[in-house]
Amino acid sequence: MFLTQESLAQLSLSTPPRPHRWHAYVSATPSATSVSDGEEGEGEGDVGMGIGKNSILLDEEVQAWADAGRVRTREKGKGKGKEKEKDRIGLWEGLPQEILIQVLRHLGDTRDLLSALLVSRTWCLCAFPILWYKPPLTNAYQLAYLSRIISQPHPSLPYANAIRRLNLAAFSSALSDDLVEPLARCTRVERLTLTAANGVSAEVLKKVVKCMPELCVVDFSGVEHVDPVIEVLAEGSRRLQGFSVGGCMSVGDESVLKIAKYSKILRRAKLNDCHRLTDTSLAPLARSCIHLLEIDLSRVPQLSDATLYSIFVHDLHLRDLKLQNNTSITDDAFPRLAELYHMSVDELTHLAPYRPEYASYSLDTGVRRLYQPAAPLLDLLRVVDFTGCTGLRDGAVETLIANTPKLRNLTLAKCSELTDAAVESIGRLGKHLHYLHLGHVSKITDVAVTKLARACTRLRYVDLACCQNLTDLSVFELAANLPKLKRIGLVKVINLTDEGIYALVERHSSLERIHLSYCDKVSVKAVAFLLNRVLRLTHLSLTGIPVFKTSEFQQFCRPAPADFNEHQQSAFCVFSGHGVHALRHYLNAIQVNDIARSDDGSTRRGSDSSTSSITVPGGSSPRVVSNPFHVPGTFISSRRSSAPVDNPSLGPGVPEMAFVRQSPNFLAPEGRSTNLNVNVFRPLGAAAGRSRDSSASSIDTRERPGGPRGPHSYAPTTGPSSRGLSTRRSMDVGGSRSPGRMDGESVPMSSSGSRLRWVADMVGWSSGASSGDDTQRR
Amino acid sequence: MSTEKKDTVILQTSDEEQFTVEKKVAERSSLIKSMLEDLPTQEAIIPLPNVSSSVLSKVLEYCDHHKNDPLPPPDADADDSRRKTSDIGEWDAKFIQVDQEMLFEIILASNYLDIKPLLDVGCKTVANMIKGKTPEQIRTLFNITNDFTAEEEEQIRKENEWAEDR
Repeated sequence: MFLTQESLAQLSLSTPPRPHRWHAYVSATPSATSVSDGEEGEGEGDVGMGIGKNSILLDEEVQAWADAGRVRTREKGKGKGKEKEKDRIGLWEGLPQEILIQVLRHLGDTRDLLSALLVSRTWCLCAFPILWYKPPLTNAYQLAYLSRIISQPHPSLPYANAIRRLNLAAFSSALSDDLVEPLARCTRVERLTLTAANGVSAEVLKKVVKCMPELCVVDFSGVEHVDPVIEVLAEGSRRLQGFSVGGCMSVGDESVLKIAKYSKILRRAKLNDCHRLTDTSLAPLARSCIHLLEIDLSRVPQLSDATLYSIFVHDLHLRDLKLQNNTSITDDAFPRLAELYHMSVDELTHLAPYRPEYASYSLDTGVRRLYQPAAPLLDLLRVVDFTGCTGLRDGAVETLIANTPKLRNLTLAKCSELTDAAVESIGRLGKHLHYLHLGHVSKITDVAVTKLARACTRLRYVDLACCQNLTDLSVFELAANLPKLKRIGLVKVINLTDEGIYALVERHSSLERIHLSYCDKVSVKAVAFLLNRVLRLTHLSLTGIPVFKTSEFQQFCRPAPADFNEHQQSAFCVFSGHGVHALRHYLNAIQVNDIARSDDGSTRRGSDSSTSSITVPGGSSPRVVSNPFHVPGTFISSRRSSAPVDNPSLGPGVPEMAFVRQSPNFLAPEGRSTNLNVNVFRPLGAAAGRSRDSSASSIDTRERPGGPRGPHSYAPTTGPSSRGLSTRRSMDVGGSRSPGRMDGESVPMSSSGSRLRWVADMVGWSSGASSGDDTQRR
Repeated sequence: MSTEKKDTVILQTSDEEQFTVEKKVAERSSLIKSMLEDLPTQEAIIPLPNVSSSVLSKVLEYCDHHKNDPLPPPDADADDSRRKTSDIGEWDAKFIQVDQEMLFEIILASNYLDIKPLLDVGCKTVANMIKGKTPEQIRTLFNITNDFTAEEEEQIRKENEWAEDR
């Protein structure tokens, strides 16, 4: 590491202070400082930073230079003659250098480091390696300046050797041979980032890499002609632990075979989009670099089962495996490690003929080495991404899960052949699974998602985009079983209705990102409810839902990405960050207006009586999270109660205390049955005006409780697995199921009537809020 | 409080004062901890010839407050905490509000006693004092004499100027 305590102790233990100035010393014997000689071959001129062949020599020189300064100071102090003054001078100047370095490391700002650098010689000595360790370069001018300093014959300090990390990615397009070549002097560099440095020739890159034998991590992503450089890298940098050549089309099997041969301690390899690579180099790489922790082989079209098989058998330390869009991978790529582990050589040999793809490189290695895994499980594998590996079938997932019991992130998006059986296998990961992406795995059904939700209860991230067989039931199950859910993707789950939304947000106030684009059965009211329920929400996508395509909502939407076509632009409807808050306030403001307009105060009376009616069936259920944003008068009954809006009782299980006035909540699920339909047609009928809306409301009133989409709407989706849910629900729903419920015991008819009117207003939505818009649209 | 002797240790400072300290508190110091492991005899007095009683009592105040903190992992190097400057805990910030001399002594003592979190608090405090100051202001603050020659200072300034561009 950098400036270890040992090396510093070494520093301070070096020869007693010499009375000459370092500067004078250097100019008298220039050959002593390798930097000034430009001999960038070996690690000379070390600044006390660990190993280095002739490091001690220069340490002493630089240290002597600093010590000489201190001696001078002390003499001056004596001259002043004041005892106390002298003591105080001694105080901070006596701070051991290793501590001063620790202090300076806490300076986040480069300018502070620069100031520290110029305080005194000792401070300079401690500060410059920190500043130069990872030069904060943001543009090509800075690099040019820096190159000039390290190229000058007599720099004050051995700057070039202090540089350990070089990241030129911020201005890679401005890089040229002239700018990069001087960096060959920085012989101690451990990390080099030259992403997309296509202005630099392979020759110069080779020269630079050759001069940096201590390189550990190299990033050449997007550098087109990097192939010859990789060979030099492999041969020269035996400490290579990470290399990235993502998108480097020129990289071929030859150079990757060199890496496989020399870089035995490789831990991270990013080889995505390397079109020339084949199993010829990748399988040996997997077999030889057994310390691999991460490998990215996405979009390597020539890769086939053999490489993946090798990875599974040999790379037992693997944590992160990415293999996006490798369509040729099949179930054969997944070895049953436990079986192989216990096989005898004979059995393994027997196996060989069935895997002819290995024949080409099995000559020099024994069968056992080739086929037998060192352990029966890939215990450390946490992240797997097989997006778009369309060749995979259920068997692959089953074997994968059997091999990797502790998988945390699993992405199988667009693996379109997978079915419920695969999802069932995934369920075996249980609480280990935190992240699951099954977008476009369109064959899966509610039955599988139900089992999954009950097994993998620690899921935080679920994406089921375009799984069009799924219905509200899946969402109920996810909602009921995943207390840690933070992000859910339900794009184009077209069967999703408001019921699903209510179920989802009832318990998941911790949700942060919700994707509902193209779920066009979702109503404005459900979204309003959602917004008031999920207060940590930072992202809500509602693209392609017709009711949100109006300017009143679009004003809070974030701008569509520039590369979208016109159609996409117009459909785009995503609220994020501040937009979410703005939308919430907007919806609530409309609601408040509506209350003011249509409510005669009976609401409050209603809420007063709530204390007595809190014994709604299921009210004692501990499962309901209290919502502090309920408002007396606007009842958000919880999903399970499905209570009519005008039921003044609190939501079951919601303590009355939780009802806070200042943040009015939106209407609740109650009116949803009819709303739904009205909402769907709203763009057409929206401008019909208030009178029509209120008439609609009266219809609402009568129809709603017993309407076709009342509590019964759960029924069709209720599979065998959801029995518990439906039982609970019917119990909760209790009295609310009867059509007469709304005129129920505790609510005076008048109050319910008035509230319903504004419910209907909400339904007819823009009538109150933006009739101007409507007219325009017309 | 010591119900049993083995729960306390005796520390002796440079000015020969003795502190009887709960073992748990004393073991915040990795130095003392390893000494105790090496010397199982409970009666032994641990001499701390580099720490004065006034500083030790201050340091022990810190150790006592933090005696139940989880011990930092041994290999947690400064590298990760490098760029976080302002995150000194509330109690620690108050604790470290001492005069420069005491601050200096606390840093030296925590370094000697190997109490990493305390050393960290001390270093961060000094770093915060440095922030935003010119070299001259830093010299004045810590009473450090500028031992550069004029040419040297100028050259080093020039050689590092590239970093100013932000």
